[in-house]
Amino acid sequence: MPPTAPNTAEPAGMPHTAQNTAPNADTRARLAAALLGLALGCLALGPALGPGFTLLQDMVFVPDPAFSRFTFGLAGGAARVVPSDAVVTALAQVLPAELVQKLILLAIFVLGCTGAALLLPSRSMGPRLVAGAFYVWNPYVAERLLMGQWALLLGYAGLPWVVRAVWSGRRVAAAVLPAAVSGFAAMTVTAITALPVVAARRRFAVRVVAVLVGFSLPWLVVTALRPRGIAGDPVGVDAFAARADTPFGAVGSLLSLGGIWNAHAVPTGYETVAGAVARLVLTLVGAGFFLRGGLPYRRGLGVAAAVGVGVACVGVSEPGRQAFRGAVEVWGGFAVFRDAQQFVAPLALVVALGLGLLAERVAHDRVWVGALALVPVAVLPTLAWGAFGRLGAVPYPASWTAAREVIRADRAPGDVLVLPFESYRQFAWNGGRAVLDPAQRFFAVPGRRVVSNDVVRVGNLVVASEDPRAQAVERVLEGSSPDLPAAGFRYVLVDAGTAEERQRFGGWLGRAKVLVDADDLRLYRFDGPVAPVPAEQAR
Amino acid sequence: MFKILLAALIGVAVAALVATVTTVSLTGATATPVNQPLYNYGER
Repeated sequence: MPPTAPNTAEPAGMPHTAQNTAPNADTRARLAAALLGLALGCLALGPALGPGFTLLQDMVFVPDPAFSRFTFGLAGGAARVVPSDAVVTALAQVLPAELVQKLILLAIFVLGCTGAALLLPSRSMGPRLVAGAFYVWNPYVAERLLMGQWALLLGYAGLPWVVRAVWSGRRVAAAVLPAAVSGFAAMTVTAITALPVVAARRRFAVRVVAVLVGFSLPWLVVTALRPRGIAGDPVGVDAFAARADTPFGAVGSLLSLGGIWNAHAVPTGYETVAGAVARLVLTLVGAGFFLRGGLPYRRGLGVAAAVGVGVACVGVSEPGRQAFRGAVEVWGGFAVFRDAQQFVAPLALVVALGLGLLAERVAHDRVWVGALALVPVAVLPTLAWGAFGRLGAVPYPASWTAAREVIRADRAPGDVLVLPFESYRQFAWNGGRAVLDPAQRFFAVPGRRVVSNDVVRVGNLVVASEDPRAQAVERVLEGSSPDLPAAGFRYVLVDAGTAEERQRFGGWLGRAKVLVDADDLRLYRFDGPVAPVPAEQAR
Repeated sequence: MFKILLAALIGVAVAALVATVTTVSLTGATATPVNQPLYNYGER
């Protein structure tokens, strides 16, 4: 097979400019790719676009969110929600929050598909659409969507725009904006992608590094203000290491753009041998064509993909995990490398562009190009219709709204405790989908902290809390009759629990008034004095 | 040559589609992927 150089590329120039594509063709490609991304987004999200909120794993949106210390990373664990929660809360001041969520989820598909399509230099629209389709319809997108990590995916959608901007040295800040909105993890993935690309364009390096650092300041500053908040537990290295989700082992799974640690985030029907073979073949063919092609940013993006896969593979072996554990113990910020599968994102872009280059070879034959554009959907059909029904949209129960009104109307000091003291819930009203307890965001109110647990249990592993307040509450709750007002609590919410747990909580809360009593939620209030929270726990 | 490669890719993709749809139809899509841990949600 001869080396594949795109017949329209200008190796030393921008991948897509007036040098190699006509402006009208460019505009048409942009529009077509945006529409394709929108169509694929609607197909993937399906029932999640209905009325209500999509609540799955880490994806938590709430109606009428309020700004609180948690929103800005000034309470709770590591500043993972900075600045994404603040941006969502701000947008929800002008638009209904459920609409904000749907627009963000659709934007991931539109932005990603358009970005990948425009990054491929081609006079034909078909190859660009092939690249765009694969970039937003692959195991990486499916698994991160099922993990509820919309912020990371927003940064992922911005990667092709980042490569384009970094290479040309223009609009770098605008291109990095989606990752900047997303926060720590997305900015790390973006830096791993951008820095090798800019290494070949050194005159832009200072500008690119300045943008990356500048847009990281929101979470860097918060982290500096609350150094205890990033005390990452090294156990997370074992819990969140990439795992095999195909018959080809962990490395084979990563090369197929899968390999996420959580079985709940693996698409339905993913385990078939034929499907696994098809996804691996697709990525290998795409990567091969990319490496043999003549794209100007080939070396930089290729290095980025290799680094990303390398980082993801470190946690696969025991010596690698040991190294990560050591790094996390030295500085908690290295905890971002615990869930290392997220760093295969640049490989997804490489494969998308490579498949686009393959399509370029038969660009004159629309049937072949059209068939190739459908291949990503065929090898991962269960991403369709809300990942085969796993994404849905539900309203919050009326009892939650009633309890929030009570808490917001009360001016008496004291925090809110959420019981059971566990991170995740499987509410019946949410179709039994596992989700990070939304109470912390739903009941947020300025001046009153909502305390829920941030311990994560994975199999037999327990990843410890990063929140000093939650750690203190955990110790209080170990007693047979915890004194919750003495621990700073005015309200207690019980939004789940086994019959045995609810009975135990009833014993703890005997002297509290029940203000809201519904099947799905109980709100208790302690009258009388509530102790102030010690300063070292409040931060 | 490129068309042969494309035909092979499309063939593999169709096989994957058939296998996935068949598996999901027959098993109700409850199979656990290889070597994956689970969140421990307990009864909550």
